[in-house]
Amino acid sequence: MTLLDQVSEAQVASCLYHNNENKPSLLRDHQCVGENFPPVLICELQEHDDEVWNLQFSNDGSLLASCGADGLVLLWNLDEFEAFLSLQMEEPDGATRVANGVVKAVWSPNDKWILTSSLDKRVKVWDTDVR
Amino acid sequence: MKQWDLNGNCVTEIATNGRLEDIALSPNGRYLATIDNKKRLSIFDLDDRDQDYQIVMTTSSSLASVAISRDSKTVLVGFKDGESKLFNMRTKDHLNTFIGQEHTDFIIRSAFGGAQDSFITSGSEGTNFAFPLVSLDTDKEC
Repeated sequence: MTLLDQVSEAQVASCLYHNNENKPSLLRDHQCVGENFPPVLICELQEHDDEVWNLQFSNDGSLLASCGADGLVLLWNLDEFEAFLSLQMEEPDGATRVANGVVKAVWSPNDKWILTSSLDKRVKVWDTDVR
Repeated sequence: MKQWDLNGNCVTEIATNGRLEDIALSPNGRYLATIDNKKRLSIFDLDDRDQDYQIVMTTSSSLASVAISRDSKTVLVGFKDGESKLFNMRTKDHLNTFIGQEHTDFIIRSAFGGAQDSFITSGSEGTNFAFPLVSLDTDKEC
């Protein structure tokens, strides 16, 4: 590592609110402003009927998938923070759906698939193109 | 632990002798980190399909979550009492401990956040949103 890299890393390490992908300029001491750090609640998403067990943003940052005890997997758009889709589980009635709470929902690295694991002991692969 | 292809065929099976509570895959696709109910963090090398090493935590609290940083270099283990510990994936060195908030009855996860994974974030039973933890090492607090 060059001397300049070391100084750059030291500047980043001492920056309390550091939240910037770029290397800092070494022309002045680096300090990120606290405003770039998100300590304020902007909204609460309340579509789920029961505990939310897991959630994950898509890798391209455009969508959020959430899942939980109510057996639902919801997809949210991030402009309005609106749940625009619920993955269609097989269970015909509400009681069975709830009994099969979805523990985890994850996006594939290319966001082409969502994998869900649920209390019915199944891992399901969902194609996001068809939605 | 089983590895499947997307056609539903089991490709690999790795025997473990604990109940796995959480797993994380390194973004470079090389390593798998697991935590189990026996307070063990295990790192598997997916190329060798073999266990690389295992760290047995000596804390009184059991393990709640595991996450790997975007550069695949550090692994974050969350504990049920609210602490989180950061380890260097390659050298196994303990890098830092973060003390968290209320954390008793529920599984609450800690994760990396921010640009270049600058922050450790965690849920909490006391509040409605995740926030960064106090680092014991450098007294950073937000």
